[in-house]
Amino acid sequence: MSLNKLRWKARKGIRELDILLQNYLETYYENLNTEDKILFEEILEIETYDLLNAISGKSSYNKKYENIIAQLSKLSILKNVKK
Amino acid sequence: MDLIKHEHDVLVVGAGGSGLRASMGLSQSDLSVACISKVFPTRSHTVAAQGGISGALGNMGEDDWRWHMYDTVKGSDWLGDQDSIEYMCKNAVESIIELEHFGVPFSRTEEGKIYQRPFGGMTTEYGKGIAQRTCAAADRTGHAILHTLYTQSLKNDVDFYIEYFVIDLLFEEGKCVGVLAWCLEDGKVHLFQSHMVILATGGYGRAYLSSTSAHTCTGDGNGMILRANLPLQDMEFIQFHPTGIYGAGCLITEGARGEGGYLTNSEGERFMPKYAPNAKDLASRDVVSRAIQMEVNAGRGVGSDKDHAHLHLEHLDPEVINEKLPGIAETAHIFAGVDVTKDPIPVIPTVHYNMGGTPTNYNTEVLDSENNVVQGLMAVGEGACVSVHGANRLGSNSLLDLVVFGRSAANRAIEVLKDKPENHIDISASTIDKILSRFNSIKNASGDINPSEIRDSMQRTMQRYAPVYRDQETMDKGIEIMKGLYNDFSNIKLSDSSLIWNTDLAETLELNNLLYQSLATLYSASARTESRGSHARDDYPERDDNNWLKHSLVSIDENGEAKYAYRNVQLDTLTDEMETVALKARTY
Ligand SMILES: Cc1cc2nc3c(=O)[nH]c(=O)nc-3n(C[C@H](O)[C@H](O)[C@H](O)COP(=O)(O)OP(=O)(O)OC[C@H]3O[C@@H](n4cnc5c(N)ncnc54)[C@H](O)[C@@H]3O)c2cc1C
Repeated sequence: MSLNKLRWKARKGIRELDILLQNYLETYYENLNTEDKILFEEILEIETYDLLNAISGKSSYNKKYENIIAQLSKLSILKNVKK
Repeated sequence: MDLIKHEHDVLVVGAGGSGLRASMGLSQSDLSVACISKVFPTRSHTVAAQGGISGALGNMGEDDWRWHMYDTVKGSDWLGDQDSIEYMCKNAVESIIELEHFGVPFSRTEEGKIYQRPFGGMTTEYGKGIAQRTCAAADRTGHAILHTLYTQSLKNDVDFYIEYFVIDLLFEEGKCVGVLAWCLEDGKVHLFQSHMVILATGGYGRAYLSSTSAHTCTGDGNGMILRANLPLQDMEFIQFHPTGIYGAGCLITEGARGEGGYLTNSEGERFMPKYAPNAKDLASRDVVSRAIQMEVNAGRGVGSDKDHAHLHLEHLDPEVINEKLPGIAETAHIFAGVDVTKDPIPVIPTVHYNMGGTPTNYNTEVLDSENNVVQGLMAVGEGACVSVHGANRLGSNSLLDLVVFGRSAANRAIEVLKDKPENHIDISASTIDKILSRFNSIKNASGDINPSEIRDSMQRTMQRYAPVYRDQETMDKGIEIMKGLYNDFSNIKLSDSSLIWNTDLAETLELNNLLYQSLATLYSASARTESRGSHARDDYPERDDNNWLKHSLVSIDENGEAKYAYRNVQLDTLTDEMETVALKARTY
């Protein structure tokens, strides 16, 4: 999928995910290998709250997404904290 | 440019709660219905609504739609139209029971009735007691409603055009006869002809830097209305939620304060008791937002820029936080880097809801500046101004607005189209060319300014010049800056002029819509010389019913100048089942 198309698909309808997924596309995505890129595309199709809960650690999701989901949950802290 | 043509009796633009409810209702008639959405339906912003939907079902104690109506009129600071409010509150119970039958999994009481929770501003017996009126499907009410309505619409043969971006409305001799839409997937422009268009495109939270809404919330339909030289109504009324996370905007629900959370300033002072001695940190949204702003203005904001406040939960039992406030610890951790058991959450009043939008009567038919119905055009949802929320919306009344008026729009369209003409009205080449040439000039723009710069300046300008507290000088300055940005738009550059999945182009079309709405907001706000509901002015601190018990209408000419008109607030109720809620001061 083109980066542009991914940017549109990264709109999940809630602000929390929009911020995380958009940031991920800007920072990590280009450096992923082909398999991980496909995993990321799949992650964009996970149902909104299942994805949010997986990222926030409230519940677990399919193990194959573990690494990317861990990156997603860390990246946000770096980007958004202005104390 | 070759256009791909489609004909339908009715086009619904938008697949959030309001658009899907309208589509579903229409699909039960023999009209052909299309629903067009720029994002997949279940990615619409309605998915974010967690709190619930209001309706006087009376499952948790006595309740009456008249009490709900009283609360809504008072909440609106008397700017809401009482015919529409009566219609909404009276039809709430039936609309919610319908949702239940369609399959929305509402939370239950032990006896198996729909569970209802208390919500700000919802009372019994005209302000005497606390009502439990808000129905929820766990903490995913909006999500459940969207999924249910989408499934039902599919079953009933609504034609969905998904990831189609509607560019503009088509008019012939003052009647709306369809839309032009750009398909992100095939890169083509599609011409949709119809007898009726129903706009359901949602709010425009993204005009501000700090808002609780998702990236899709750009109020595109309102932009289309202004470009069609029609007015928007009550755009000055924007609800700020007091506790959006500083920097990220994500919402920390009122429940956090309900469970004992409280706010402090840079001196560590718990300041809410100064502003609301009784309700303290639990005062209504506008009161708490203003209090935070006053502290910041007095130099007592926290952080290096001294521009926000702290919300404390550290004193609460971690188990209470986990049980009663699911998700809050995680949200604060991810978006503020804060462990809520040890540190306060940085919060700031954050744009949350647009009371203003496309003016309609209670049948959801769009109105022009002279109060005439615009033929062929209806509007529902957050993008419409029917007006049930007036100057301030009560929590959980928006989801109700979506389903009640979505349903009513379907019924009204079916009635109007009983004797529909056999053929669609011919659309002239010049009508289409005008819209295509705007589209193409944006697509091929080769000026000097990157659209993202304009977006950033626009969002900062709204944040700074149309904030919680306003005065003439600030807003007039905001208008000057925004007019500049509006003009700068003609000098943008786009690096990519392709048509397939050109997200930059889509975002630039959205930016144009946001610029129109930002201007309309600033114009209406600077003209209204009183304080009412969410519109709080330093220089005019009182509500002024003699001069301002009226809706503002603003349209924008080609040079970005405002044209103002006003419309009386509908104080008469719809039937004699309820008397007009008489004007009085709004105190809680
Ligand atoms: C965090 C949060 C929590 C909330 N919680 C509650 C709550 O608990 N209770 C409550 O009552 N309210 C709540 N609200 C408010 C409520 O969620 C919204 O007002 C409501 O969901 C808006 O619904 P809508 O149908 O008008 O539009 P949306 O759901 O925003 O849908 C708009 C639709 O229009 C489409 N669209 C837009 N532009 C175009 C275009 N150019 N071309 C094609 N399609 C287009 C989109 O694709 C989308 O399908 C909350 C809001 C927020 C931000």
